[in-house]
Amino acid sequence: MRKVLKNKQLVLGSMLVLAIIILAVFAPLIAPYDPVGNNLLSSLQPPGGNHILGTDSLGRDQLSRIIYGSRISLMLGLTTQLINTLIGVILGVLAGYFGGRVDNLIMGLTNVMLSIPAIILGLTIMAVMGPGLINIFIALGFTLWTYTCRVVRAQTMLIKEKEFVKAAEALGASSWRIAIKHIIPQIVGPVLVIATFGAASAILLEASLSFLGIGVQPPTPSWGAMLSRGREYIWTAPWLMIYPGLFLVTTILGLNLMGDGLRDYWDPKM
Amino acid sequence: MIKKAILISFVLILVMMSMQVMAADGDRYGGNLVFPLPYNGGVDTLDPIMTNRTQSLIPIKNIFARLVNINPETLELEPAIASSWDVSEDGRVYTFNLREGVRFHNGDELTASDVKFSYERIMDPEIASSVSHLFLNVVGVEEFKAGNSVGISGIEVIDPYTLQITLNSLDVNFLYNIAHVEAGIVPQSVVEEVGADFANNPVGAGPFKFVSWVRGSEIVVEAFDDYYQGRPYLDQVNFRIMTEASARMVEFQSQGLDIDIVSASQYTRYKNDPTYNDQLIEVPELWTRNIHFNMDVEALQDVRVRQAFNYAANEALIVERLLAGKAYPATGWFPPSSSAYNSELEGYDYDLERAKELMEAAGYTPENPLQLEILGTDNPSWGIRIVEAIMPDLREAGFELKPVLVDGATLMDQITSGEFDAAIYSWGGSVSPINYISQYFWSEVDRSSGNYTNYSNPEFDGYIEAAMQTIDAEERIELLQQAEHVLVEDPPVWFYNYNKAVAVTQPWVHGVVATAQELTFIPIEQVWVDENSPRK
Amino acid sequence: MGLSVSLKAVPFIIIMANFILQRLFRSVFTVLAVITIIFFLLNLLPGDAALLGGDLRKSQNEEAMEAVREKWGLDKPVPQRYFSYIINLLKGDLGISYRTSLPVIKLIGQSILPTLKLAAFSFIISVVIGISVGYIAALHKNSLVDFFSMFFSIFGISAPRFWIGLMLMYLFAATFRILPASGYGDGAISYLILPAITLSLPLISFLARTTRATVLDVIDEDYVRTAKAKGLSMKVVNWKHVLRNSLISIVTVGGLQFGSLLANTVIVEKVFSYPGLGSLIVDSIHRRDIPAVQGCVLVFSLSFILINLIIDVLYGYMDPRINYS
Repeated sequence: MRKVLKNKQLVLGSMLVLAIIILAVFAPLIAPYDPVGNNLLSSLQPPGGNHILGTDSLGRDQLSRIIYGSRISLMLGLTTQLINTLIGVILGVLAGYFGGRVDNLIMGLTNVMLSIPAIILGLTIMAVMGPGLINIFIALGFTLWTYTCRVVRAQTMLIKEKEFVKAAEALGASSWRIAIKHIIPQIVGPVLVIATFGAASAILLEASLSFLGIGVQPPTPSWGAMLSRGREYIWTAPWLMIYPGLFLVTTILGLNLMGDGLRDYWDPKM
Repeated sequence: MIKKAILISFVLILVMMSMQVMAADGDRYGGNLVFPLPYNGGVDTLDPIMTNRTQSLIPIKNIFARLVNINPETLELEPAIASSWDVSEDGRVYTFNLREGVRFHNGDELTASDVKFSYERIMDPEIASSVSHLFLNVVGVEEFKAGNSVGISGIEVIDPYTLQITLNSLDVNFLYNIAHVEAGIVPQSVVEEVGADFANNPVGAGPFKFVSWVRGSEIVVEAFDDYYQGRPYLDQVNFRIMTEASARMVEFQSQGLDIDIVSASQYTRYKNDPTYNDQLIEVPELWTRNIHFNMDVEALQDVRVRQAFNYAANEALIVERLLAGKAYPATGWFPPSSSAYNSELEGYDYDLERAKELMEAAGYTPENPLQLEILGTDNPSWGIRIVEAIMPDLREAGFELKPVLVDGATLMDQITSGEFDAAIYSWGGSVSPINYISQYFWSEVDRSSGNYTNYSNPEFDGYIEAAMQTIDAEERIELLQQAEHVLVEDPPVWFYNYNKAVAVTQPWVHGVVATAQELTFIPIEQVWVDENSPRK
Repeated sequence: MGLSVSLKAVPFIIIMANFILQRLFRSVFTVLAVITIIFFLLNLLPGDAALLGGDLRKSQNEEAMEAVREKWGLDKPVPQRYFSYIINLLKGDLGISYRTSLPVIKLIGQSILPTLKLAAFSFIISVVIGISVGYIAALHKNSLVDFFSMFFSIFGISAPRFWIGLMLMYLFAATFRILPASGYGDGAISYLILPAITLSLPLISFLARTTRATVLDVIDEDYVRTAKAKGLSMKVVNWKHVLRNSLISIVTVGGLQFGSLLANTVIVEKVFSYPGLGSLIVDSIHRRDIPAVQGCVLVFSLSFILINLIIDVLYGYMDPRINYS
């Protein structure tokens, strides 16, 4: 525990992420207004007064939208990383453990995925499926798993050669059992590190897709969509660009710090 | 004697004044203009017949000349390369008298055979022009498209300066068709020589000569000294592709642009800026923004539902608050700049009570609402956020709207295939008043060709068909207004707004004419810059 | 790594050539798979390409659209289109773009130079600034300089690029008015600066952090300690041992990032109205210009594969312990 507390990055990062989690969980209690309740008569009000962070072009309270937006961002980070990790770990362990043809096939697939830029793949998948929260989860979930897969594969190859795995094999344990009992527990650390960074890049990628015109379905308050709409008001209502941006940057900063910290914790030399 | 002296001095003054004007006129020449191409996507092609996207048509309009032009202010037809024309009694035969000595940029003279060649090119099935509907009504097109004739028999070169076009039937739109920017005249010899590369190195007879094109960035044109209406004032025009409105605003304020198309979010700012508030050019453009209903959806066949929608949606408030006044709330279909505009049309006021009554009569209440999916793009003025804006009022009236954000291509695909409840978009662009309304609501038009709502109203059709047979313009407009009246009573759309196009110019830019057809179609050959321009 | 070729180096070259050939052979399959995936994805896209020859707001003509469909072969079934695409590709024909009627190869030819320029410029900026910052931070470990540069580094990878781009534009073009806001300006360097900084910020951060970590690692290693003990001046130790050893790992990771740099031109080019592959691909996706999208993806994946190959070779060259068999 002392080791954890001494790790300043981990502490700071976790605190930031925790703050966002609290915001997301208690959104209905914290948010002063309905995030999708619009009132054109109070549109584009600058920060201050009744609306601490001002209102958007439809007169919706920006603070409330940001608070509810944290739910979308966290869900995005969590869901995409669940999908990524699942695909990445399964394929990575398979490739690393069995080697040979299986390895060639899976690594071939990873190379294919890696050589299509994530943003292009995401954009194309989103164009096919149309905007929407579920669709963006799927698009990003199936786009970002390659890194996990590569690291898991490398780790599995290392662990496979260790004494205790050899011993288990000699005792006749099935491949599945070895994978689940012996290999997966060993790779939790690195996978968690990658997932933390991955969550950060998923949130960033959503913002980029929103910028290119394909993101979540309105009136869902996503930070990416808010930023992307706010950009046309950059000279006239800059708060629409600044505040969602600050929350987005803070969250990603937290996740990145946490990832750095976790990496130091598990393997200072990774 | 005194009278004579007065007369002489008067004449002298006049002469001096005109000399001054001439001197001033001389000062007008020179300088470069940086003009933004503000719409989505780059310029696809500079071959006029291969596109009908405004972004590409802006430079094309300046490079090519047409037989007939549209007056930017009155939207009336006016002579261009054709100095005059005669129409036969039955309205089927058009005889165009071409100006002599009109030159293409390569020095060749433009003659009637170039015109014939240009029009046949549009109809050539192998070229597959995107505007091949323009000459469908010309005699001999069928044979030409089937490959049974070398040319179109209905387009005849009488002599180098006379062209005769014969139509199958009376077509009051025909002159508007040949005034399309897409119907620009190309030099036969050059096109035949360079083939498809013509799209990259266009040669026309317009006021500006093509110089260079950096794809995705900039198109440069220069003044054509032998332009048939006289050399334009500017030496050079740089068309810069700038689709991000916020980036354009920075560029304009750092004086890198001479003119900018203003978006709703910037409109207030320019209006409050002392340097620029008298530099704004505003015009009601020929676009009607609307939410169109799919008439095949059973619930929407009930006229009360569509009327209720019109009563419940508060277009005036949206225009004022969300668009900062940069639009005109719509009362009907024809915008104020159209010759068929009806200023007495009342349209639908915002009346939530009336909407509720109508919806209740139709069997819907806020507790038991009519659910509608509305497609839209992310356009700030006629996209999905307008749907978001009307949602609260419509909920109260008994509608449960579900906004569905899609990209333009998907939207078009869904509405042309009829798989939608309703969609928000901007329609229009056509200068011919009859086209402006008939292409969307006349039941003879296919859904895939423009009748996206699948509207069919015999009374409306009757007026449209009568208008099509009416040569007298005034009578025609009366019929069209009656058709519009029917459309408003039995609305297939929510009449939302007519665009107010706004441009802002630098103080040194003069001669900009507000162009209602499309503000970016301003006649740049009339624009001049004074010595305060950093580019003079 | 002297100039003379030692006896030992000959088999190394053969191994290397063999390795490169093998990798190239495998790349063919990768490219084929990429093309196939993208082809079928794009052909699932709603939005009839033929409709998009023109402005969506204007009335269409069914007959004209049929002609366009026929012209581009869109009236044929997808598998048939796929096979003819592959066959043409083998002949080196990337097809003709629907919306420009130009050969895709020509379109790409026009767009690739600005993108390469942008990416290369960004890469140079990143390497110079990133390594210097990381190096200085490492030498002043735990000082204020270190803290600030590391905080800046994490910030740099935590902000959306279009947001950074607009902020920079606001600062340098609108407020200080020292740089053009957007565009290409015939390739003038002043137009390159803002997009390049926006593009390279994450890479700068990344390189600064990697350099710092590597330098700290190397400083701890025995031979540096020995060198110090021997009494070499601190400066010599720094440059000769530390930096050189760090460079190996920096080239590896930094090189891999070049691919992501190239991919991110998509966003940056859009923000700054910069002409290039990124703008081309986004516009083409929106307009359903399938041949053009295919061509761009092909270029992106080829460059990714190529860069990886170069890095692997370079890596082996710098660190002969790597096994290429």
